[in-house]
Amino acid sequence: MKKTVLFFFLLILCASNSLRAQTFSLITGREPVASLDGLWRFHTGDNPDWANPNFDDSQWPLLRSDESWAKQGYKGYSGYAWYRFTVQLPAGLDHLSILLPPLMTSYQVFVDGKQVGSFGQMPAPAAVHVAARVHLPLEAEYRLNLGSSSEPRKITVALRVWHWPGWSRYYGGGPVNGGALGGKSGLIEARFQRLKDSRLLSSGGDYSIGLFCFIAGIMGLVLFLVRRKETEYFWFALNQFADSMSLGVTIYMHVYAAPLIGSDVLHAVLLLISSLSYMLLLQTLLRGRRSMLFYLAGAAIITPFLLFMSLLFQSWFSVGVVDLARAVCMLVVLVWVGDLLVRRAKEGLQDARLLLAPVLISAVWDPVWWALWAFFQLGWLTVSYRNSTLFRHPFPLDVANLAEALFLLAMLAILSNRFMRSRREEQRLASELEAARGMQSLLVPATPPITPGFTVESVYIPASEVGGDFFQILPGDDGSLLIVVGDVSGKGLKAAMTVSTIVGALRGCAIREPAAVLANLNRVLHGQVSGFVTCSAALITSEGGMTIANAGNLAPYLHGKELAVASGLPLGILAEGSYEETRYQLATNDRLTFVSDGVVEATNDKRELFGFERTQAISNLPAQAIAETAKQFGQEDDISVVAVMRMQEAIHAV
Amino acid sequence: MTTQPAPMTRVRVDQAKTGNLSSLTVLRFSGDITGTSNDAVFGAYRQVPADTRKLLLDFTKVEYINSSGIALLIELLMAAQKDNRTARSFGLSPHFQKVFMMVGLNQYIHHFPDENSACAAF
Repeated sequence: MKKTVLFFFLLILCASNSLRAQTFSLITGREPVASLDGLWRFHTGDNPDWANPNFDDSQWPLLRSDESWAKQGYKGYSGYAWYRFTVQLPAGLDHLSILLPPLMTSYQVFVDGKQVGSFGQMPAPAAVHVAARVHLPLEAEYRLNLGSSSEPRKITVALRVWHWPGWSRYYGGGPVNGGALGGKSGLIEARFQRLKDSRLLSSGGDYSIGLFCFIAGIMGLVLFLVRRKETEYFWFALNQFADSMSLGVTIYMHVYAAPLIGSDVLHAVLLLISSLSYMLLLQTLLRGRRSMLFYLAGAAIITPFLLFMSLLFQSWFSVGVVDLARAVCMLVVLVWVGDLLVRRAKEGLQDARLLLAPVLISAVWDPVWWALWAFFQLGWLTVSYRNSTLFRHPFPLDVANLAEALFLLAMLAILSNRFMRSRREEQRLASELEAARGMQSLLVPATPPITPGFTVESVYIPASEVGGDFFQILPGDDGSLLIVVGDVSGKGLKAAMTVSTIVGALRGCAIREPAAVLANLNRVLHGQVSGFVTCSAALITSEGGMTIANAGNLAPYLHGKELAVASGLPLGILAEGSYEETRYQLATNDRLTFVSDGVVEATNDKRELFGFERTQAISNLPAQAIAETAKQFGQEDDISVVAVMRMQEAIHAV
Repeated sequence: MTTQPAPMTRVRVDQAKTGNLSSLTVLRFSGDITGTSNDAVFGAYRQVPADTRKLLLDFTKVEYINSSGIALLIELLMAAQKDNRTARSFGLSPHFQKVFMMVGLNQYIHHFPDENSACAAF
């Protein structure tokens, strides 16, 4: 049935073409439908009387209704002009649908002197032309209720058209192609719908890429939510959402008669977000420096947007000049992106090699496209090269679509690869952390050894990342006690390995004089560690005589006061280190407390350090209490506390 | 309440004049100096002109230096000594002055209360 109706519709259209006159008839044919392709009366200028059905237009020239007036002897004409034609209606027809072709630039429709529809403002403000410079007016359908009549009758349709001078150089005014009119048959509505469907199909490239962008955006967002520190996922998601939305706006403007200014401003804002996030994505992904060229490229993205916005309010520049400026700005972005990509690709960065083709296709094509279009707008080219369609079936796909699709594929490969790499790295670090913790638990004694004549308390609270704190309590056969405490710079397995070297060196060596102990450790560590090790060694005899040497470590506290201890450079820095010894005499119940820098450097929410004064104030507390206080304040690093109390008879200071 | 993020290390390389009007290079540190500051610290040191013999370290805007940051500064001062450069510093908080002394950094760098006195001492 549908095919039959369409057949008759086409038959009627063919038949009506042969009329070629300014009167169109709905009387002939089985369906009251006729094409408006034919000859319309035309007159430049403006006069409200020209809407009047009784006005005599017989002296007006006839122009074809499917071509602009520019192609019919009125090249370059802009401003107001009128078209008129009459329609013969059959008896009993009470409804009329008129399908008008796109008319440049804005217009009003009159039927028998009465306005029945319009498109745009008369004259339209400059902003509309800026907004509509890519998206032209669309076909429009007007439905009229004429009231019933038992006799055939004739109506006069008049079109008052206004064409923007800025366009007249390269767009002719008036209709772009022919229209149609019909009664209540629904055929006009069907044709209008078909036109919209065909426009939607011609947006297939944008539609497909927009959909892919949206899905990729969701993927990027999920990856970013999983790994907040890896900002490339965020920039990718933002870029894809902005691209997807801008393509959505483009499709909407292409298929439906969207309000041009609002849609085009939204489109411009989305393009700005897309371009900036694209730049930040590449900079993050390819580890680009924020150089002068980087900031110039950023400015080159923002400038065309500002020029475009200025056109909405002021006419300082023509649209062609703004589009030319856009092309030049894109060249700056091309220089930045080309330099970064090529450099990184030469350095062997796989991601850069994958992105090379899609990014450069887009970065080279965009300024060329805009430059050609600007040349045409400025009259430097007579032919417009706007069409960049690569193939038309099943739907048109242009260079920009292809570049976007290739970019998407490359990015999906890169991001999934990065995500997998990060996961593997995370697993490796987790197992390394576990190994380091295991090693540290073996090296740092959980319970102090038996130390006749001394009471030893020790606490070790590891930070989330394994640090390099260590301590060794080594009782001697002569009743003395050697205490070695220290901290390896750095963290993780590497630090734990250094601790194991230190512990091995201490346990396997008979040296007990503190300065010699440190010098020996320095020799063992020099050239073996990349950082350094702070360390204190104290030897307490059974009589309470204490000798202490220090290599950059915190001095111990005695009865709540910091001991004055000569300090040398940390271990591992110089090949030959020498350390000064300081002597003290401990009395019975004298309590010596060693703390690691994790206590002094505990940091609270206000980024305040626990500091030396607070540490000294609590240094007489039990080791567990000191460690807990520092932890509560804000643990940043491993916290170790070793407290030694002499239990035997008091011996006076030397 | 959430912990504020640690400020990133920034180092600005400036030129200044000593007390006897000869030129010197100032490395102006800001933010925290930690194990992640390697690129910022040594990137700045690489920008010091090759003929510079006097180096002034400005810690006025440094809030925090952890043990890994101290390790970096030791490396920096070792590099300066190897390049025959004399180093002075100013602007350290009393806490970090003590840390410098504790790790023996005062053997390599003299600390001054302000820029003028540090420049005058060269």
